[in-house]
Amino acid sequence: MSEPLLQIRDLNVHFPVKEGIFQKTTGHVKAVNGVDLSVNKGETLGIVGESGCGKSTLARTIIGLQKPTSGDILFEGESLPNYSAKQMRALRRDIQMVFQDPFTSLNPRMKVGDTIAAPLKAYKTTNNLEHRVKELMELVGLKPDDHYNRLPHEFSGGQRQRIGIARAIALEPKLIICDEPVSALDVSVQAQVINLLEDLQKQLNLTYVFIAHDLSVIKHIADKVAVMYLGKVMEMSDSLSFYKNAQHPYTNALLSAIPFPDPEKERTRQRIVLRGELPSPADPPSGCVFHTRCQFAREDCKTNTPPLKQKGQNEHYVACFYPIEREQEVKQTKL
Amino acid sequence: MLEVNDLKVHLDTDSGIVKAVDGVSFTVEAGKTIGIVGESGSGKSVLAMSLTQLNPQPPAFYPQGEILFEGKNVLKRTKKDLRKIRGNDIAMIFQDPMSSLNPVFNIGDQIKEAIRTHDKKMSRQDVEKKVIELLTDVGIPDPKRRINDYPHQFSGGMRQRVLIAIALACKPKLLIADEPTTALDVTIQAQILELMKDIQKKYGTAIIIITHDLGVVANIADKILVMYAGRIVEEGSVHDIFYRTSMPYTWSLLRSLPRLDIDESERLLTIKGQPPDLIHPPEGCKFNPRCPFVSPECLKMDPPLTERGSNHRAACILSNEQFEEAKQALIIAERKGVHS
Repeated sequence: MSEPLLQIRDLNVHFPVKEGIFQKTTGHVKAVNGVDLSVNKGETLGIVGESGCGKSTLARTIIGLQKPTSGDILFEGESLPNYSAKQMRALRRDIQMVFQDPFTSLNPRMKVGDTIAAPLKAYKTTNNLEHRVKELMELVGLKPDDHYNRLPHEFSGGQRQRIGIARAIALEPKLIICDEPVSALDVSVQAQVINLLEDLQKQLNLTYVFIAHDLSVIKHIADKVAVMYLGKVMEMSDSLSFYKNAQHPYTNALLSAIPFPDPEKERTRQRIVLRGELPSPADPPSGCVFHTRCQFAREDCKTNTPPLKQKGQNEHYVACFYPIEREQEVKQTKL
Repeated sequence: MLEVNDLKVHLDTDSGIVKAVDGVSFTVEAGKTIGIVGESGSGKSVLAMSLTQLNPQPPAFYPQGEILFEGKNVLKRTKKDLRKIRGNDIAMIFQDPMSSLNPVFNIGDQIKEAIRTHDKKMSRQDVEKKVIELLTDVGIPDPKRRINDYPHQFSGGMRQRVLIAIALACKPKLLIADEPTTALDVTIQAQILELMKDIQKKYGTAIIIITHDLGVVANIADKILVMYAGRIVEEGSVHDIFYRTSMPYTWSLLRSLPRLDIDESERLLTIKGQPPDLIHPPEGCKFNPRCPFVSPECLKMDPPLTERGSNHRAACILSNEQFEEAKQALIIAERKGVHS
């Protein structure tokens, strides 16, 4: 529970913007812009942000589907971007991914058993393929004898996500990247899948990077939470301190935007409603990237970029010159 | 204003008849907001589309029931009549603001089209003025310039605002919003919900909002209908549904939500099993295979909606007192389970 399994150091992923008949590069979309993160063994790091904040690009970069522009990703102390194709192939056993959409991430013509067996075949890890697949199906709550020879269309969203999870854990990976694994599912099924992921983590000693836009789901599963906005980490902390004591104005806006399923609380609470829209990541604002929508922004936020700094005793980092102090906010609600 | 009586909408598919809406009754009053909550496949969208006869026929057909809008049955209107009702009296906004606008017309023209379809006499200048007024109403900054922009120049939230402007173009009496915020980010969702409330205040429009998000209805609705497998299983005021829940499905659904507003136990409580297959629905109560309080009787009969308080109805064989007892027993059993 102590040493970091994955470390991301000053990671940048930029995409060139090309224009004109000569496809001249006119600028860069800074999808991931100087991100530092680390995940310890057996922990879950939740990454939250709105669409376009770079969270999925970050996931793709960790798993090696996207080359970083600069910066480093260390997995068990080894730098990934410099890996050869052969080393990468070996590494993919250790890092697996669960995708958002269980309807498009399974091959519709492949039987469920074969889908789960595919990674096992690719790495030739076992002689008794069918036995192992059935074991995995059991583990994720599918019926091995009944479901083995069926096709994905015969399954509901939640069950398909179970198939995707079985495939991801087949090679006993150390790290699983979950990119919005429950956002396409119905509420009643969401809880089942979250619980399954938690159980598997305990049983198999897995480490998760859990990407989602829903802070209430993250609250449930994550030990550590990072909030991203326009390619940058705005706030990062252990889960407990994060939800009790969120300090960045953006985090507070996000938290207050989620409707409570409780009409009394929902209709009486104080809301921070963000003005405007997400700026284009090709042309992010100067200074603090959030200053255009921040109600607490002052002059220096427009010119200087706040670094991610430790606040208080805990491992709580905030990238803001004027973080919200809790007491101050309590006063506001009283008024 | 709108009254739906024992409506059935079935879909004739290759694999059998899907009973998407199976005997649903409710009323909508002027100026109020009704939330229809349900999971995918519960029939909520088919129900919404049937109110303006937008379900393609076939496969949809209406074996039973009536939809009375201001006293007249929508199901019996001619195509010409229906064109008048759509947009003019009842307007709709849909889930996906990316695909609901025509990409090759600028948004000014698309709003103008909505106005001109229903009022051919209005002068060009008046239409232009109205468009700018509508865009200002829905909170689009700098509308004079923006009317010449095309949909791809707008973000998701802004497109949803344009769609709301189109829906409002003829001052409809009823606005049906089918998952209007599902495709949007939470901060934008909050803005759109505020906008819908403002519009209701200003125009007195009745709103039917269809969603799977119980937080959204807690925010905006006056009355809630909970749908499961094509039927209404509980209906009542927001307070009835959230604080005096009388149907095991609603109760289980509320319990299974990950919550930000309360510190909860480690594990999420789940509803076992999968949503039902509407071609071969379970015998008896449709929720019985997933219900924690199921008894042999539930397999025999599908309970009708019964009164649970004023304007509060639920479909369950358990009375309020029996349900309360069963709930307590379950909670105690769960606690023991955790400790042992």
